[in-house]
Order: sequence, then C-alpha cells, then structure tokens
Amino acid sequence: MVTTAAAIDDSSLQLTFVLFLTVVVITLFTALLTAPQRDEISEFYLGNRTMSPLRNGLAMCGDYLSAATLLGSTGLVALTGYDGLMYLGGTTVAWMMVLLLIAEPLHRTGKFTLGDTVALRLPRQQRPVRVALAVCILAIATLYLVAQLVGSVALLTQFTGAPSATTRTLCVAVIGTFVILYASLGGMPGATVIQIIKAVMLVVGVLFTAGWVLYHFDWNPNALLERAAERSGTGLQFLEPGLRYGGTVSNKLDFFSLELAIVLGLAALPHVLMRLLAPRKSGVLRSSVLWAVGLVGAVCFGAGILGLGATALLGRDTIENTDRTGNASVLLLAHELGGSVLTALLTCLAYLTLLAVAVGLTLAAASSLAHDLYSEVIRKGQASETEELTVARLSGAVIGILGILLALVAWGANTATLAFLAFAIAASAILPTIIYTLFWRRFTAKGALLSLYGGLACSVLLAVFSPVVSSAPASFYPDIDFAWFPLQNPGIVSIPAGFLLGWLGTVLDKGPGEDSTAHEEFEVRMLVGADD
Amino acid sequence: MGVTAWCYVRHMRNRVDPLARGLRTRRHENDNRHARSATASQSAGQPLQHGARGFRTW
Repeated sequence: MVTTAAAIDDSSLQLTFVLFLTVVVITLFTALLTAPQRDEISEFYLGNRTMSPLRNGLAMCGDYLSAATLLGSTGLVALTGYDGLMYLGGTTVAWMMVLLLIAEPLHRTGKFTLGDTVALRLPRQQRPVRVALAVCILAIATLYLVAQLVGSVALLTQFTGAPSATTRTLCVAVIGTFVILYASLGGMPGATVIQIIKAVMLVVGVLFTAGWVLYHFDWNPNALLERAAERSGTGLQFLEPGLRYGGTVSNKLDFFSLELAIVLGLAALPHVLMRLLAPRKSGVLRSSVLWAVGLVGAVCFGAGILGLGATALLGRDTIENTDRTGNASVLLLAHELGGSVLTALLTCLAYLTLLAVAVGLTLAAASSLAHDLYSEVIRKGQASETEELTVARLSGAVIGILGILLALVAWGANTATLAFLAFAIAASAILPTIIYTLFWRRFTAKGALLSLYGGLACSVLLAVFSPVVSSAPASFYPDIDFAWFPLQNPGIVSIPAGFLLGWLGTVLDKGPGEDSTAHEEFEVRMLVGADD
Repeated sequence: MGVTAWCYVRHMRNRVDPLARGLRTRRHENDNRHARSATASQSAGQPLQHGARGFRTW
C-alpha cells in the first residue's frame, strides 16, 4: 500500500528526528538507570510494584494506545464520521470489560505470567497448557509488533513518499533496535519509563490539539460538526451511521466483528495482562484500571475531535487524496493549525506511541518464553533466577529481530488490519481460556488446549482466506482471489469458536480431572490473593 | 460508563473487600495456630503433624 507524500515540508521531518532522538536518549538513559541491577527475576517481569495508581494507570494507557488510535482512528473519523466515532467508543468500552471481568481475579491468582494463573488452576497438566499459551502469546505479540514497525514506515511515507529499500530498512532497524534495548536491558522498569512518558505526551498532545480545533470554532461543537458534514462531501450522512460500515449485510457484519474483536480482545492482550499483574495490592490495581479507563477515554475523545477537525478544516477529498486510509489526517491537521512545529510534535508523538507499545509487546512475549516455556516446561521449575533472566533478555532480542525481519517483508501492509487481527486471535484463543479458568469449576486442561490451539488456528485460517490476504486492492495478494471468507476481521466466527472449543474439550474429556482441592484453593486465592 | 465504574467500585468496597479481609485474617490465624502446635509437638519429640490443608504461597 503506497501513499503519496503529504504536503509537509522537510523542516517538519528534521524537527521530528531531533525531538524523537532527544526523547529516546533521555528515556533510554533513564530506563538503563532503573533497569534491574540484581538477578531478581521479579523486578524484570513486574518492575516497581509500589507505584501509585496514577502512574500505573498512565503505564497501562501508554502500553495500550498505539499509533492505530492516534493515526488510524482519527483517519477513520475524518473519512467516515459517525462510524469512526463508534470505532473509538469500542476502544474505551474494552477497558470496562477488563475492569469488570478479569482485572482483580487475574491479579490475585497470578504471579509473573498468565501461565502461572492457569498452572495454579490446572496443576497436574500445566506444562502442555503453558506451551500452548506461549505459542498464542508469541503469535499475538509478533503480529502486533510487526504492525507497529510497519506503522513507522507508513508514517515516514507521509513525509517522503514511497521510501526506498534502504530508508525502509534503516527506519525499521532503528526503531526495532530501540525496542530491543528497552525491553531486554530495561525490562519492565524500562518499559514503564517510556510508556508513562509517552502516555503523558499523548494525553497532553491530543487534548491540546483538540482544544485548538475547538478554539478554531469558537468552542462551539455544533459549528465543528456542521462544517465537518459540509466538507465531507456527503452532507448529514457523515454524521449518521453507515458511511463505512453500512449498506450491505457484509459491511455491517464486518463492523460488528471488528468491534467484538476490539472489545473482547483487549482483555486478552499479553502486554495488557502483564500490566495487570504489576501492582502489589488489589486496591491499587483497581484504582489503576480506573485511571486507565479515564485516560484512554480522554484520548479517544480528543482523537474524535481531531478527526472531525481534519475534515472540517481540510475537506475529506484532500485527506483521501493524500492517503486513502486517512492516516495522514492528523499530520495534515497539525500542519494547518500549527505549521511545522505542531506537525513535528505530533509525528514525534506517533513514533513514541508505536515504540512504547512495541516495547510492551516484546517484553510480554519474552516473559512468556522465558518463564512459561523455558523455566517451567523445559527446566521443570529448576532454573535459577540468573538463568531465567538471561533467557528473558535473549528472548527479547530474538523477538525484536524477528519483528524487524517480518516488518521488512510486510512493509506495505495495512497496520490497523494487522493490529486488529492480533486482537481477534487474543479474543479467540486466550480470552476463553482466561474466562473458563477463572469462573468454570469443571474446566480441564484438554479444554484449555483445545480453546488455545483451536482459537488460534480458526482465527488465522479465516484471516488467510479473507480479503486481508487476497482479492481486495489493499490485500497482500490483490491479483489472486482465494478469499471465501467475506469479512476483514474473523472475530465474529473465531471468538464463539474459541469458547465452543474450550467447552467441548472439557465436556468430552474422560480422563481424571484435577484434584478438587486445587479448585477450592484457587477460588479462595481468587478472593484473598497471595501473601506478599 | 462512569456510573458503571462507580457502582463496581462501591460493590467491591462494601461487599467483597470485607469478605476477603475476613478470610485472609482467618487463614493467618489458622496458619499461626498450626505453626504453634507443630512447634510444640516438635519440642515434645513428636513427629510433625500435617493435619490442616495449607495454602500455597507464591
């Protein structure tokens, strides 16, 4: 997917580089200073467990909000109005699902990874389940990581047009190297630094620019909406549902599938789950998630205003002619309002956004590989902390390099599609396992294995045979057509399939179940928590 | 959403947290009682009794 260059001058690009490198140098230095100094694995996986709820909430917000929200969602609002705003609404609602359903039970029964929770519940057959979890987490983290790295190339395209192979490689390699340094050397403390700083910049930057847009319309939201509708080229239809996800049944199902994947997938994303385990006390976690809900809601609200403002000030045609996906809308708006300086600030913010999320993903995948796969399965719990820490750092480097290589191959892909495919896999494979583990007494290891592998296979297979891979102009292979599954996102089929497979695996399991005392202990632990 | 979050926090603080605190206190008392009886029987030369089901800690 190649876009034409935005009408943004070179001085913005130069200023962006200077700002980005300045922030990275400062945060990387801080990350290395706060990195685990001793071979204590808890510090690498969980970081500072006594942070305040606000800091934890900022870290959660920074870990979750990616460039897909800042660029992709605002672009969708700019091009499709109401449908784009619903898309943003789904992002905020997803955090409510986390708060109400899984945050506290998972925190009380967890240790370092989701594998520890499942092992506490299913102690007899924990090893195969840990392997399955590690495979799913690696798949999700790699896909989402590639989406972030590809997003860095797409962002550069806004300034330079279609980049040369050298430029692409340099861009991906530099961002990928920073990700490896933060994750492998800094661990969770390093990731927390970049995520908190990014979250503060994101909240301030988005709300400031949104305020500037409203100021432009004399703080009159009606004036903004009317002007946006007028310049959208579709009149009042811009402010009504259906511009993007209306019309055919297929379109509506696609929207519903996407929203299902977003709302349910967040509760199963590995880097978000890792954040839920970090605070020491449950009360702090509760307040932290509330802060995260508020901050994510504020950013999504601001992003909606930015999208509408872009259409109102620039016109939908200008945005669409620059970039068909609308990812350039925020940068074009920034250039219109504040010239090179504001453009550079928001571009720097976009790069930091994808860097922070990539670090969180790499760390989550490395933790799962080192703790679940290496320490608990291969070494059967006999690995020393030094050994496990070394493997975690090496895993971070390996995952980072894998992400770089895959991003160089898939550099033209639609980043939002890749990211929401990761959401669908998380919701289809990991979420059923979490829900059944926490709330279903009868759940067995066979059910866990079937929901993990089955959910993963179902979502990946449906995605392969969807318009994401073939038949559509924006797909990987636009000239070939083997897309018999009509939807862009497989969530509407794969998520129920994951839950069904988990149930089926359990009811058909004729083997000896887990010891009943294991479940009783788990239930008490879910209420009481661990001794600290 | 704000109302939902507020209702959830109120429910957890009024109903669930006191229950969890009570269970935790009772568990600590049980553990202390068993530790004291195990120490007493050890000092009397009796073998250690594993009568009660303890909870694994992480």
